[in-house]
Amino acid sequence: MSSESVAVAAERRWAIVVGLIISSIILVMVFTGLHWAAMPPSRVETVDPRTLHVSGEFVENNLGTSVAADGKVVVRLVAQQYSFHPQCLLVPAGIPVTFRATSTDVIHGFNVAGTNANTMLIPGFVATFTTTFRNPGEHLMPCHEYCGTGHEAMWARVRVLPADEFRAKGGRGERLSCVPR
Amino acid sequence: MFHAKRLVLAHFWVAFAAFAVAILLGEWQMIVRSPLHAWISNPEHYYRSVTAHGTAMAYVVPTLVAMGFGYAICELALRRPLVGMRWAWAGFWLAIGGTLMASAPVAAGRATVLYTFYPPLIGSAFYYLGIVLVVVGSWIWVALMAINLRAWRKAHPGATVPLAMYGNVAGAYLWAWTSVGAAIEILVLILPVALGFKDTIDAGLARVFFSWTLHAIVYFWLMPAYIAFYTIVPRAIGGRLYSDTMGRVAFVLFLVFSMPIGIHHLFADPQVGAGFKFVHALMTAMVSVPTLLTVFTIAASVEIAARLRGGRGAFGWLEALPWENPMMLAVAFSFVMLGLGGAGGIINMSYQLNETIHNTQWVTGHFHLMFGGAIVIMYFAIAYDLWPQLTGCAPLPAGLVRAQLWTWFVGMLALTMPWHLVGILGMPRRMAYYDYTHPALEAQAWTVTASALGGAVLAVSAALLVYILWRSQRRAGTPETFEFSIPVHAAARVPAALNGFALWVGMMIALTLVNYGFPIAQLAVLKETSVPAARVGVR
Amino acid sequence: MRDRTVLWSVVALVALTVISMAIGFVWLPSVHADFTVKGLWDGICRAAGVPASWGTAAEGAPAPVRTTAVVLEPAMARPGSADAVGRGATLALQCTMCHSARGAKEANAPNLAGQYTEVVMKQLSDYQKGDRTSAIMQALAGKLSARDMQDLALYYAQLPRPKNTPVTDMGVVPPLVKTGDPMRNIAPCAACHGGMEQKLGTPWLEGMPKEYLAQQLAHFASGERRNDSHAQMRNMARALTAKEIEELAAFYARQAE
Repeated sequence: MSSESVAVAAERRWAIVVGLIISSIILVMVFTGLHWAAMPPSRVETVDPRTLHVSGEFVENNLGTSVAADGKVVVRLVAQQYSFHPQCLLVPAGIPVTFRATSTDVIHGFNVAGTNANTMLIPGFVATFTTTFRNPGEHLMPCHEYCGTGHEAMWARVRVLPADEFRAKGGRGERLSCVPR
Repeated sequence: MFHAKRLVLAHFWVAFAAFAVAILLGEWQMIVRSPLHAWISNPEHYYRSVTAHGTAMAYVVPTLVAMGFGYAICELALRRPLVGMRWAWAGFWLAIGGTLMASAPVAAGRATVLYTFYPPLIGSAFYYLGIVLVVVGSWIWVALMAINLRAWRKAHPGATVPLAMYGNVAGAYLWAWTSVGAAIEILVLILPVALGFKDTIDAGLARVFFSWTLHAIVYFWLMPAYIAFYTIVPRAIGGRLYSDTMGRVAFVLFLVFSMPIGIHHLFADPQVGAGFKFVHALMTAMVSVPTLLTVFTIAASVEIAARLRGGRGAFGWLEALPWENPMMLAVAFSFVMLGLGGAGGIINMSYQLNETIHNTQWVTGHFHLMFGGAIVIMYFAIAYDLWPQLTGCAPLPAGLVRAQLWTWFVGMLALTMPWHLVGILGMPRRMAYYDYTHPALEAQAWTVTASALGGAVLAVSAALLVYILWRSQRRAGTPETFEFSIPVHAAARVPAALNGFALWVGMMIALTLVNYGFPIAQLAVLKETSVPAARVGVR
Repeated sequence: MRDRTVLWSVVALVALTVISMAIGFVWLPSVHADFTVKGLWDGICRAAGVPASWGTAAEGAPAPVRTTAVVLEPAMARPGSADAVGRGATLALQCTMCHSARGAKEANAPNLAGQYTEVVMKQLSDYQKGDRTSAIMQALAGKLSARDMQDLALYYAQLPRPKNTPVTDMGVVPPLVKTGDPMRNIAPCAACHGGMEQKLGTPWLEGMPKEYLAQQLAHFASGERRNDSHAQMRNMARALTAKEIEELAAFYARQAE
């Protein structure tokens, strides 16, 4: 009987350790959420994938990087079988950049190599997230979700410019990209 | 065993045959996309192979192993003949028929949608119907598990259900509810389009339904391994089970918490709100509780075995363990892989950290390590342990069995560790080839080669498994009577709630409705989220 | 004993759910500007995933510059009635000069025999609206009604294609057709134009005149032709070298022999 109570006591102690492990993981998530306001892409917004090219925010001449009146940098792009448009994104270093993207056909997604920028693109929905690129340089941006037999060829690029160089690139209202012309 | 031997054996053989074919496909995929091979001349063949590999490994193999092991447990733990033998065979043949029906369009390139379906991509209706048949076959198994338990209870009023059977039925109920998500996705959303009645599909809603199944299915895969941890391992290595109650607690916690957490697969998706993403993240943390409890209980049970063999000291007992015993080796390897994979899993489930690795090779590495490693190595151990009972064969060749387990362990680490590494660097998964001449990818080329070599070791290990089982079956012997593990403190009364399922199944369903009800309902109501279907293949 | 286990399990689960919801729907959103603009209840709805407008949508967007006005629907690819095909055949009489009676000719005009319905409909509509330019085609298409275009497309879709080597014969196929070039974002041609997959709105190309194909690729590359929505084809063509354009055009044209 006493050996059984020893066993139960050891189980209790372990249960407390388990409780502490789980709570500390959850606390880290809550802390990060509260103090860095960090969340996974979290806006839900619908859009009709059939008419993206005809009207609305994702018409071709509105895609690329824009600087709003209040200085906010927004990158708009679409994914389609089998390219992102624009194929080369131009962004500033050290300034928060908001991505707004959607798909014209099937499910796509992208991550920017070497950064935490990562989202799914589901037809019918606009994906939005904000990130800051620390250093100037060039990153690869592959489609990371199977989208058909050309999936392996769906690679874009992100070029990060020093903030002042980026500002010199264009004034308000322009849509910037680094697609060669 | 009574009369389920042939039934169980049939399940195991078909599972391992499918496994052997799928592993060759997997290794072929690894080689053709590595620097060892030129770019495959038709990338569609690569994705076709991924579809076949995933369908076999995720749906066919674990389902058949769980079903076969479940029937065996019924007779071994309840000590009475299986009720409903005809139905069990019907379920088996449905699963076989479904597998064949799904294989044909995949082999013909008419269903290259990967085993995760990915609507609005739409493949041949036969592919989806085949998977439905496999699942319906497994539902027959679920019903039989419940019926057998009830029959036993009637004959033993008030008795405590044997732990193995308790875990087995928990696994069956878990699967019954888990499979509902994908079943709705296929029957309600995909099939009407695949059959040509509709041209649009709600891709976002389909992903939510699939996530319902996709995460909890992992715990269905895992149940046989955990049942083996609790009820076979301690006996096989000459020890005692530290706590019978803890096993029950672990099983019911899986029942409650494995379902309503699948949205952590959708952290990066734009169709689910941030609030539900957090709730699912928190509940995912909860599902690690049963695993942590299991790690403690099994480690303690193993220590008991060591001390019974004269082990001394705080860590000195490790030396006294029966390392030459294949079951000892299997559980040690399984725990190492469970530990590494679990640590990676904490990254995946973390609300924010997931952004770093979502959909990269890290994820491929994670689930191969957890399922292919920690769980499947226990499937091997279960087969080795049951084989003498099923075939009446002589003891298995321990040396070969150890070699098989070692090669599986080493191969799996060589396969998955490089994947984890390049995943952090941002390498996307599921690509038919990479351009290794690009400066940014050149540095990652060796990791793909390393994984391909790991895969080759795994293929050898799988061949060894089939050889061992085949050879042993042909060498008759007189097996000992099968026993499950005996707990250290037997005869302790089990709380009524841990001898039944009503409470836990109720909590499982209620929590699923709370956590999934709103996201599903609102996407179902939104009309504008239906998008044109994209039928795969040539016209 | 039984009641206590049941009671505590239920209480613990309810408490856990309530706490996680409070954090996920109220506390975390409270520090995020996205969720606080319209008050607590609106924030909870947004956290729950109710679609909302988040303010950034179309602010400062320029007037759309049209590339094509055609909205592709899977229904456009369905075969038509014999009636419609017959009407199309009559209308097609004015096309025979360039496209021949059988829909395929050695002139520098694309083959139409067996071309997909939605492809012909889209191109006719684009000519009519001026989104694709050609002196002859714009003049001819200008007079067509929507029904005319559909009937014409249905007629050509059911004509037998000229004999050609299937693209699945991988031995003779240029690498770009079967594998593309990932780092230049050139997808395999066969992933959309048939061979591996056939994407809605994408023409089959085998047997098209070489000059026509080379010219179209060059026009896509330069941006002179831009009726591909979201630069689907321009993105591919821009990365091609002149030699590659020549090679691809020759390959698809060669199939006709």
